Amino acid sequence: MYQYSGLILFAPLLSFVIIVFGTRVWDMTSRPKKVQITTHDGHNTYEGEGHEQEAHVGAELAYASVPAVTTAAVAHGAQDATAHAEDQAAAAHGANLDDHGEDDDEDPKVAHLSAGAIVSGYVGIGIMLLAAIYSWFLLLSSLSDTAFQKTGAFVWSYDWLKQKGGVGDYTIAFHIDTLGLAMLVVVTTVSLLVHFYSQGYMEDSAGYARFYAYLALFTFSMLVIVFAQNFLVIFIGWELVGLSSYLLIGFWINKKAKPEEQRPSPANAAMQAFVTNRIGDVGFIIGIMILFVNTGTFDFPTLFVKAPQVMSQGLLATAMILVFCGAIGKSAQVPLHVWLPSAMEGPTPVSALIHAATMVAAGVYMVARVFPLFVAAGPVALLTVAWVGGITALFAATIALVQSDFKRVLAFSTISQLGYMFVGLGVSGLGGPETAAIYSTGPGMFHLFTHAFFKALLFLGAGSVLHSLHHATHKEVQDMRLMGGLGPKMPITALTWLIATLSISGFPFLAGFFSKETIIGLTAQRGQWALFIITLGTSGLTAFYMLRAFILAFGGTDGKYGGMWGGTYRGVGNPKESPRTMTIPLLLLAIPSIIAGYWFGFFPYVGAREALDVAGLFTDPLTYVGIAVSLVGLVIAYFMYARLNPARLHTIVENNAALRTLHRIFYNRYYVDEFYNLLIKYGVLGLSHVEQAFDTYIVDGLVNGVARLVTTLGRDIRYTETGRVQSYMIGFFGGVAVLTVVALVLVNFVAK
Amino acid sequence: MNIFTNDITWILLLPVIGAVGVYATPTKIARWVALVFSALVFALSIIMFFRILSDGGFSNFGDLRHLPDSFDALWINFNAGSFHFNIHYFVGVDGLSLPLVVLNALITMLAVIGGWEKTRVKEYLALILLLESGVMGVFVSLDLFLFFLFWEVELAPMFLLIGIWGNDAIKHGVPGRIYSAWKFLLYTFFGSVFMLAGFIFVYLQSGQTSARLTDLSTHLLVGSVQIPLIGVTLSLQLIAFLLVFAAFAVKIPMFPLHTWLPDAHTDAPTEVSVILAGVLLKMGAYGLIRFCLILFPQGAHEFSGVLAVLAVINIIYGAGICLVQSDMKKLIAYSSVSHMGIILLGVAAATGTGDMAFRMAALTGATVQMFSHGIITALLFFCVGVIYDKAHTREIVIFGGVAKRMPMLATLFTFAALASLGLPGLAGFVAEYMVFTGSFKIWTAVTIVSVFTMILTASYLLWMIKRVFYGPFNKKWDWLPDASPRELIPLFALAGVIVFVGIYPTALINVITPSLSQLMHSALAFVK
Repeated sequence: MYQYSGLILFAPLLSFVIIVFGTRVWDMTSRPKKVQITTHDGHNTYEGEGHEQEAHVGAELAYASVPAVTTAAVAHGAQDATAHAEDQAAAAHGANLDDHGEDDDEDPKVAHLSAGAIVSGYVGIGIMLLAAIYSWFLLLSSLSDTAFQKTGAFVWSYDWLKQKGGVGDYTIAFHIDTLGLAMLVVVTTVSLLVHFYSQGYMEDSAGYARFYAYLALFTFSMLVIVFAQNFLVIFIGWELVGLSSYLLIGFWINKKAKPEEQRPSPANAAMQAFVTNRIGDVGFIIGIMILFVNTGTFDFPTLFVKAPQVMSQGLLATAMILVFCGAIGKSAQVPLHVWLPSAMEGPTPVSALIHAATMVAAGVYMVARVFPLFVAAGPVALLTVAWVGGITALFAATIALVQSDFKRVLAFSTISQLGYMFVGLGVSGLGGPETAAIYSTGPGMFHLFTHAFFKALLFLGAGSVLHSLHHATHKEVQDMRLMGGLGPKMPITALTWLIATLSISGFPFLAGFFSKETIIGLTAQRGQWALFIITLGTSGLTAFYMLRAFILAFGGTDGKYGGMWGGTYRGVGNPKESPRTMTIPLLLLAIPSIIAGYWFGFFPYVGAREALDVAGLFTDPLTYVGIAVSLVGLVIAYFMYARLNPARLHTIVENNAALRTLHRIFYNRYYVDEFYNLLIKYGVLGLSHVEQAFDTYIVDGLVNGVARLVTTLGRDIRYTETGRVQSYMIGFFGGVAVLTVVALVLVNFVAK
Repeated sequence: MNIFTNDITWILLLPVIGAVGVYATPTKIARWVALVFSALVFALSIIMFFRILSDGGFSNFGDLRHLPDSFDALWINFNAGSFHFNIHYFVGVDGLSLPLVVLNALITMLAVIGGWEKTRVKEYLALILLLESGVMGVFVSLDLFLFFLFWEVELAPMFLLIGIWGNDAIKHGVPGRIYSAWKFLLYTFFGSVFMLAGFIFVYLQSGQTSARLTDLSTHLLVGSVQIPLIGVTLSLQLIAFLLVFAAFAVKIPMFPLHTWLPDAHTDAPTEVSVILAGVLLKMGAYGLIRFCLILFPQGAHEFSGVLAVLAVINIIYGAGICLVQSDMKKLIAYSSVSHMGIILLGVAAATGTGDMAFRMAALTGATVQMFSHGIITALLFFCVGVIYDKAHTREIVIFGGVAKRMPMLATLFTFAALASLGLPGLAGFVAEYMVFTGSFKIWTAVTIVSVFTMILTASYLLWMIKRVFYGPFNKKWDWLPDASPRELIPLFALAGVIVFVGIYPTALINVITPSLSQLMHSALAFVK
C-alpha cells in the first residue's frame, strides 16, 4: 500500500507531460491564426455564465493572438489588425484604452479559453484530486500502523553509479515515512486547492495551460523532496522546486517593473529568486560533500548511524550549519530573505502554493528530515538554527508592520513564521539526544503543518481581493491604501480571511495558537530566554500587522462593528465577490485553519516521544502571557486602524522624528536590497570587469602585442602573413611562460 | 578480418565519401547527400553501440587489447638498421570513446540540418563532413602517431570553415574570420608540436617497435633528469606529460591558453561553433584521459596539484568573465572555459592522492561532463544561431522581452541555459555533482572554491536569458518570427538527449565505467 505512494509522486509529472506535449499543443494550435476583430457585442456571445467579463477583450485578443502567428509576413499583417482592433476598442470604450494597451504585456488574455486550455486545467485538477485522496488515505491508515510509523516504507530506487564496497554510490532512492506523509498531505491538499482556485484566478489568461503545466511541475518537484531518501535526491528536488519557482514567478514574462511601488519586474524577481537560492545551495552542497566524503554515502539512515561515529562533533557541526545554509536560502531566512518579497510578482495562487505553504517550508522539512544529524552535531548547530530563525522572525515582523502592499505584508509574515519553525526545531534539539527525543521535530513541523493551511488561505484570500479589484478598476491594485471597506462587498473572502488572521495571530483555540504557543513555551522550557522574548514579542507584532492588514482591506473607521467590517472604499469601480471556483477553496481552507491544531498526536506521529501536553499548555502561566501579548497586538491595531483616521495617523508619524525614521527603515526593509544591489554592481560586476580587462590586455594582449610588434618589425621585409605566424608562436610561448610562472608559484603552495 | 568489414573504418570513410558526393552533385541534391551520409554515420555509430551491448555488454571494455570492436593492421613499416618506426592503423572504441563517437555523429548530423541554407552550401557541408571524419579519427585511434595524424587533419577543415564563412567585423585590422581562423590554427598547431615531441620522446624511450597505446602502456617511462641550469630534478614522466598535455591544454582550453576560444566562437558560423564547442573541445579532455593518464600516470600525479588549481581558475575565472559579456556567443564561449574546468578538476582528483572510490566518481563525472557539455553547449549555440540568423546581432542589451514573439525559441533557450547551469534532471547536473562530490575528498579547498561557480553560472545565464527574452518588450523586435520547423529539429533532438542523460545517466555511466575502472586500476592504482 505504502509502496504505491510512488504513484502520488509521479502523478503530477504525468499531468505535466500530458499538458506540455498534449493539451497545451492542442491549445496553441486551436488558437485563431488570423486575428479576429471582436466587437463588444460579438464577444458577449463567448461569455460563460456567471463570469464578469470586461469589455476590453477585443483589443486584448488582438494582442494575445500574435504570438501564435509564426511567419513574419503574417505577423506584420497581424500588427495592422492589432492596430485596427485597438481603434475599435478605442472607439467603443474611449478612456479605458491606455490601461488596455499596458495590459497586453501585463497579463495577456484571450477572449475565451480554448478546449485545450480548459482540458489542461481539468487534467491538472483531476490528477491532483486523485493524488490528494490517496495521500489522505495513506495518512489515515498510517495512524494505526505502528510498523509503518517505526520504519516507513521503501518506494522506488535506481543507481547512477554503484561501486565496490558501497562507498561512493550515487543512487536515486525514494522513501516514505510519517514525517514525509505529514508533509505529503499538506503538499497535495494545498496544491489541489490552488489548482482548483486557479480556474477562477487565471480565467482567460493566454498562458492558462502553461500555468497548469508549471503547477504540476512544481508539485512533482516538491514531492521529490518529500520522498527523498538521500541527500542526492533531496538536492535534486531542492533545485527543481527552485526551477518551478523561477518559472512561476516569471510567469508574466513581459510585465514591467513598478519602481514607484518598489516592485521589480517578474523577470527580475524570478532571476533574483533563483540566484539567491543558489547562494544558499552552495553552502548546502558543501555540507553534503563533507558528510559524503567522511561517510561515503548520501543515504539518510546510514548517515544517522555512521556520521556521529566517524566524524568529530566540530566537523559534523560545520557540515550541518552548511547544510542549514540551503534552508536559509530556500526558506528565505536572513540574510537571504530578499527574494521572497520579490517573488510576490508571480500570480497569487503561486504565492499561496509555493511561497507560503510548501516550497519555502522545504527548508524546515529538510532540517526536520536530517534532525538526528543536527542533534548529534550538538548545541552550536542547533543554536545557529534557532537563532537564525529567531532573528528572522523578529526582523521580518518589524518590516511587515508598515508595508502597504497587500501581498508584501503576507510575504514578510511568511518569512517571520518560517523563523518560528526554525526556532522550534533548533530549541527542541537542545540538551543531548535524550532530551531532544522528547519533542523531536514535533513543534517545528507542527507549525509548518498548521501554517500551511492558514497562510495558503491568507494568500488565496488576498488573490481573491486582487482579482476582484482588477475587475473593478481595470488595473492591478495591490496597495492597501486603495482598498478599504471590502467586507460587505466580498463577505466570504473577508470572513475566511479574518479566521486566518486570528489563527496566525495565535488567537486561542485556533490552529495557529497551539503550534505557536508550543514553540514559545519550548524556548522557555529549554532556558533560551532571549529567544523566548523574541518569539513572544514577535507574536504581538504578528497580531498587530495582520489585523492592520485586515482592517485596511476589509474595514475602515466608518464601518460596522466598530470599524471592523465595511466602511469607505478608497478605490474606484465596484468590487464584487469572486466566483465560486475561488471562494470554495477559501472555505475549505478555513476548516483546517481552525481545527488543524487539534491533532494533539502529531508529535508522536512524526517520531517524538511525548505528545502535545494540552492540559499543561493551559495551566502554564506563560501561555497566558503569550495570549495577552497577542491580544495587545490586536487591540493596538484595532485602535490605530479602525478608530483612528489614516490621515491623522500619518501626521502623527511624520511629526515625530523617531517614529518617522523607524518608519522609513522598516518601510525600506532595512535597506538590505539597496545594499545587495550596490554589492553586486560594484563588488561582483566590478571584479568581473577587472577580469575581463585582464583577459583582454594581459592574457590576450600578450599574444596580440607580440603579434603587433613582430608585424611592425617585419613590415620592412613585407612579410606580414608569415610574420603573424611567428608572432603567434612567440605569443604561444608567452602563454606557456605565464603558465610556468603560475605553476611554479602554485607548486610551492599546493604540492603535498 | 578485412579492414573494410570493420565498422569503425566505415565511420571514418563514410563522411569522406559523403564530402566527395556533396561536391559532385548539384546543390539541391548535395544537401540531401550530406544529410544522408551524416545520418548513415550516426546510424552506424548507434548500430555499433547496440551490437557491442548485445555481444556481451560493455564490461569487455576494460582491456584495450581485447576490445569488442577494434581493428589493428600495420600501416607504415620503416626499418633502418636497428631503428624501427612503425605506425599501425589501430582503431577501436571503448567506454571513453564510444559516447564521443556517438556525440560527434549526432552533432554533425544536426549541424548539416542547421546549415541547410548557408551560402556556398556545397563547400560548407563538404567541409563539415571532412571535419567529422577527422574528429572521429581522433576518438578511435589507439596508435599515438595515427592519433597525431587525425589531430592535425581536423585542423584544415576547421580553419577553412571559420576563415571563409566567418564574421566579417574587423578585429585587430583584419576581418574577424581571418584573425580568428589564424589564431585557432596557430594555437592548436603549436600545441601539437609539443605533443609530437612528447610522443616521439615516449616512443624512443620505450624501445618498442610500434607506438600502439597497448604496447607503450606496459613500458612506462622511468627515471628522472636534472635540468642543467636551475638544478631542479624532474621525472621523465612529468616532462613527457607536460609536453603532451600542452596540446590538450590548448584544446580544452585551459587558462591561460584559452583566448583563442572566444574569438573563434564569435567569428565562426553557427554550425561550426556548435561542432567546436560540442566536439572539438572534448578532443583535449579525451586526449588527457586517454593518453596522459595511461602513459604518464606518475607525471599526471605529480602535476595533479597544479592541475587542480588551474581547474579552479578555469571554473571561476571563466564564469566571472561571463557576467560582463555583451555578446551571447562570447558569453557561451567563456562559459565553456568554465565548464571544461570541471573536467580538469575531475581529472586532477582522479590523479590525486586518496580513496579510490571518490577518485573514480570524479573521473566518471568528468567523462560524463564531456558528453553532457557537448550536447548542452551545442544546443546553446544552435539557439543563438537561430536568433542571430533573424536579427543579425547577438548583442544582449538590444533585445528585450522577445519571448513574446519567439515563444518556442525562448523556451528552448531557457531550457538550454538551465541545463548548462546544472539543473537536476538535465545532463549537466549529473556530471557536476559527481565531479564536485568526488574531488572534494581529494582537493578539498579547491573544490570548495569551485562550487561557487554554481552561483556565477546561474547568474550569467539567467541574466542573459532575462535581458534577451523576458522583461519589458522592445517594440523594435515586433517583426521577429519564431524558429522555423527546420531550425527546431536540432533543438528538440538535443533537448531530448539532455533530458534522457539527466534522468537516466546510468545508461551512459554503464558504458564509461568499465574502461575507467580498468584505467584507474592499471595506471593510477600506485597512487594511494
